[in-house]
Amino acid sequence: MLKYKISYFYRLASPKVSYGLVDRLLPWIGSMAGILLLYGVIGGLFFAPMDYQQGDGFRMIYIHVPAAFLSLAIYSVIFISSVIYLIWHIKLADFCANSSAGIGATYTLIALISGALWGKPMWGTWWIWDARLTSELILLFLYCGYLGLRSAIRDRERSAKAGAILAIAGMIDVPIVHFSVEWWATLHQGATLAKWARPSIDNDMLYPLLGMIAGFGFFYLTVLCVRLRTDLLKREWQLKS
Amino acid sequence: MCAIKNGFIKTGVAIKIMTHMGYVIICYSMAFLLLAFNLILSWSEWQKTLKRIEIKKSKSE
Repeated sequence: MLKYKISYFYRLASPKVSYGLVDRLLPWIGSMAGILLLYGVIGGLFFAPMDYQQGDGFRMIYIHVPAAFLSLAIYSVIFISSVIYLIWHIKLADFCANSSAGIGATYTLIALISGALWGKPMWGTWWIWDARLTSELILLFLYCGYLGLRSAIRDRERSAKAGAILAIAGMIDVPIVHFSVEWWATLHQGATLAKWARPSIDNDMLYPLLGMIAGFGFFYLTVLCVRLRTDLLKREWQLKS
Repeated sequence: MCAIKNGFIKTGVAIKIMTHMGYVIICYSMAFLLLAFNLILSWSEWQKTLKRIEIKKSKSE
């Protein structure tokens, strides 16, 4: 059984098999993203009750939290893919890391801008050099650095190796972003959805939030599939990027 | 006097709510514009690659 599973994963690493899989999965993943995002937006904007302290301003949670969550999750995907690439030299892992960086940077930018837009009416300021905000900004720089490095080196192999090393070194920022609100006294509030604890928000507010997190996740997978397909085709036909 | 005061308070609250909704609308528009931009960029790259392959195919034929 284990042997079969391992051989299946090896088969997945082959460009032909992975291209077929990505091609078949794309419409389903895209539809799921559309449905979940629609549910999250309608639920968050029209059905979730107003917050007793923040009023309608709290509705920015449905953009800010999923974007911030995905910014960390995608960086973790890049980290894992980079480790796999450096150890086993699986090209698909490098494609996965390279294709994830753009959308990861976008989510980080969305988290920062939505945070600023939320901060102005609630805290009275767009920006503060708080541990959570600063570490998230560093994450954006890491994404930009990764993208810049990948495009600066022409040789695909060298570019993949350099990118992987940068991604692994930059992983140190991910736990700092996550735990910054616990380690330091920050203006930013603690986690709304803790892993083991009951969520601190009502179910009417929670379900659209979970829908948006899943929707943002599926949207990431959609973009990843499109980019993976492009990268795999380019490699197959030996086209320059 | 009381009615005027109440009116001012209500107007003030309405403006505050409007301002909050304004921030919310800007936030949602910004997020979905950026996401759409990302998807369009990836999709156009995919289409461009397909065209390049077509050209390469026709050249080799």
